Amino acid sequence: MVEIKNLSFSYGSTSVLENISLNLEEGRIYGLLGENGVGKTTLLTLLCGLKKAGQGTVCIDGCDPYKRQPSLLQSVYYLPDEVMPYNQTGTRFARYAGSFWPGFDYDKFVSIMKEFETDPEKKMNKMSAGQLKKTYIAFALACNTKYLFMDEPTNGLDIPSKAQFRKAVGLYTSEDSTIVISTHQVRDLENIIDPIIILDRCDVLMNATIEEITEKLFFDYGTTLHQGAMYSEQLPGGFIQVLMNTEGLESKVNIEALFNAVHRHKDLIKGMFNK
Amino acid sequence: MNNVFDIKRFGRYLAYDLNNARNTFGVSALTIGLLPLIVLFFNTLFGLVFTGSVPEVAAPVKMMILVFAFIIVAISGPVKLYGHLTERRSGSDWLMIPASSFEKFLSMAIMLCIVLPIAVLGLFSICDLLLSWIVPVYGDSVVRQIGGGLSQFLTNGNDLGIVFLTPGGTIAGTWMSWCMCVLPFALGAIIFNKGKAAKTILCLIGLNMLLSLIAAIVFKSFDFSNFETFLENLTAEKASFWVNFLINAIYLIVIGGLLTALYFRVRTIKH
Repeated sequence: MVEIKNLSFSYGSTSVLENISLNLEEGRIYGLLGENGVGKTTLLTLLCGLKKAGQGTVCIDGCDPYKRQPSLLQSVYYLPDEVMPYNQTGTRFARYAGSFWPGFDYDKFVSIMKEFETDPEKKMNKMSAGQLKKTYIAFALACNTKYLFMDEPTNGLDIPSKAQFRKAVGLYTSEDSTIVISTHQVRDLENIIDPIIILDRCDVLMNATIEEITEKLFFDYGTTLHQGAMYSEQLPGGFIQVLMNTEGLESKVNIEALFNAVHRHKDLIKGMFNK
Repeated sequence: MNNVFDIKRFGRYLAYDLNNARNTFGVSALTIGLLPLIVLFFNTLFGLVFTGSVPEVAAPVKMMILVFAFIIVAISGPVKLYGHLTERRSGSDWLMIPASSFEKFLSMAIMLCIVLPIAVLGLFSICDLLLSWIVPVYGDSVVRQIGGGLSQFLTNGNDLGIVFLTPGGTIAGTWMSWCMCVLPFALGAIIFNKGKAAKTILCLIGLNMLLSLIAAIVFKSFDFSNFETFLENLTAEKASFWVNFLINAIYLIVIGGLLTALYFRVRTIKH
């Protein structure tokens, strides 16, 4: 279990996160959304212990990640947005680095690489950006860690690879893992992330499951424009509108529309979901 | 689980570090090890161009090349091996490896203080000895010459009243001198983001100036009125002992300080 209590962090005098509290439960794939510069990467690096919290606490299974104790590091893997092209083959990298994670499964790494149609025998510094990212994704999933934090994992992936990524996350993560994926490419991950966390400057606007969202909000894909919509956008052949779900109707969440609705009605949404 | 030191985990980490060193510094180490061959090539080339004959490679040139090789390794080795830790991409990878800060630090110290000089000296020696056997114009091996000088020193050293740990005079002393050279650059490599070697050199110059100033002030405050009597009572044996003691104490304090600083930097790196 990840517990964030009254967390604050700033770069010099620029405050990025202010008094944030969150609990991340086991067996969930969290989607961490937010505009540029709101602190998504900062939050992920604080969760991994790559940064020290200014104020407040971050606890993973009762441990402070900043202490970087091997017992905790063995259950965490962090995939940054930019990855390092080492001067060695993917298999060699996996064999050497993988030996530190007790759950690492080399065969799993090879089979994910096969699914990604990437040659693991190729030197990492000779790989394209997409191939390199896929190698790291395969490694991250093969580590079988309890906590997996990924920063913009689909950046640099081509269209088939994005589908392969979704499939791999669904197939190769265990049910008790806590996965946090920070992304701007919400459409790439629309069907796998649940719950959704929306960060704003120094604040958490929403931390809710898809079920909670559809209970309170209705996503209308019809052709009639509603005056009271919290957000509406014209699409070819109709609209996508976000409305208050007063009648308890069922609908499919459109994350982009949700994100825009949340940003237009920050206080209202915060009030709705923080109850 | 022991979160500070576990021998199995440390062994794995050292193997990982060695593998990375091979990838990042292997070619450079090999090139430095082949310096005698490069010197022989230029010696032959210039000899043929300017005099029409090939002279023997002068012993001081070979000695200078060996010193040059070690200076290059002391400056560039730490930057190549660990300079990437300040970079976000590989630095965060490194920090997230499930090994303790102490294990990472210990492996770093072993790599820099033991593996690096042995690897470079080994490659250099092989090349130097092979050339001295195969190519007559290369002349005598510089490594053998140094080895001969060293064994003579170790045999006759006590006659001069010199204790074992004299820096620069024995294997232990030479090794301490190496540590004194390489550790500041290692610290610079994991502190500065850019211009790691240059900034370390500037810091060393600055520190040197500051320490010289402090030393001058301290010496100026000393009362030297009884200095002549002190010198008269001082035997060669006593003088040798105190000089050696002081120098070695300073070496050990500085190396200890540098290692401590390295450890704390490893523990507190953020990305």
